[in-house]
Amino acid sequence: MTFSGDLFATLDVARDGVSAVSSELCGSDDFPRLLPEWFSILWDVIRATTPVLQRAIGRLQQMPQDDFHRALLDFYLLKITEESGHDEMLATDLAKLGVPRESLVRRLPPAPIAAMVGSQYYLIDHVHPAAYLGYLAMLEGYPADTQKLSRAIEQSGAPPEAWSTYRMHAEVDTWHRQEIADMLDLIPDDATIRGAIVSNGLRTADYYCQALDTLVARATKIAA
Amino acid sequence: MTTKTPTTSYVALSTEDQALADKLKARGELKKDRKPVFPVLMAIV
Repeated sequence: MTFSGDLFATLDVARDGVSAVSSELCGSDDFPRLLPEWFSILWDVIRATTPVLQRAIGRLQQMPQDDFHRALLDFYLLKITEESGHDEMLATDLAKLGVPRESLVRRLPPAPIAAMVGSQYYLIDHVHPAAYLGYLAMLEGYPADTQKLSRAIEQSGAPPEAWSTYRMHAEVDTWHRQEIADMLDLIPDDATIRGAIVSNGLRTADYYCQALDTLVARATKIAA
Repeated sequence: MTTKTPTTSYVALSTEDQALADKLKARGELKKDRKPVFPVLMAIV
């Protein structure tokens, strides 16, 4: 099996964990009331994508320019292009839910999200910029099923146009996963780098579950 | 040109990571009996 195959096989159980708690959130009668907060959490994450990628690129530019590092640099440059402006798109969606941009930029993210995103800088600086691939694999490797997403949108009570950013990711992440897999299969047989990628993917899922737990705890009733 | 890695790619999970994977798996197991009508609502980048 390839490294990407190994990694995603490991992250599949993490996906199941996220699925369980996100189903609780989505199935709750309070989902419409909690939607703006969940979208705000998504914004806490997505606002950091370009800065973190820039950090990874800067770090890579200080490293030996061998084939692997050049390939990883090219991949992260591609990601910056692919993800550019998505934070603003989501801010526009949030405005449709009555959440002004000013409140987003001034809010303190939930602690698990600050840890999930903040730890990427640490791993990039002090372990290896490739560690970030674990985070990307977890968050882009499991795009929402578009039919089930329609049900979630209906459950939210929000207009579909407020879900434009999320719906777009459900479509594009299908091939983003393959791009990530192709990059993962260029990772050298280095246990530290590969271990960091796997670990980071699992930790990413755990942190995100912790943030969703807080939202679910606020739900007054879980729909059967 | 970079080449794809060989097939001996298994990375053994650390004790900490295995515990984390087990915890996440247990979360998923709890809901397995429910019909998966909703999607996985992952964060987006």
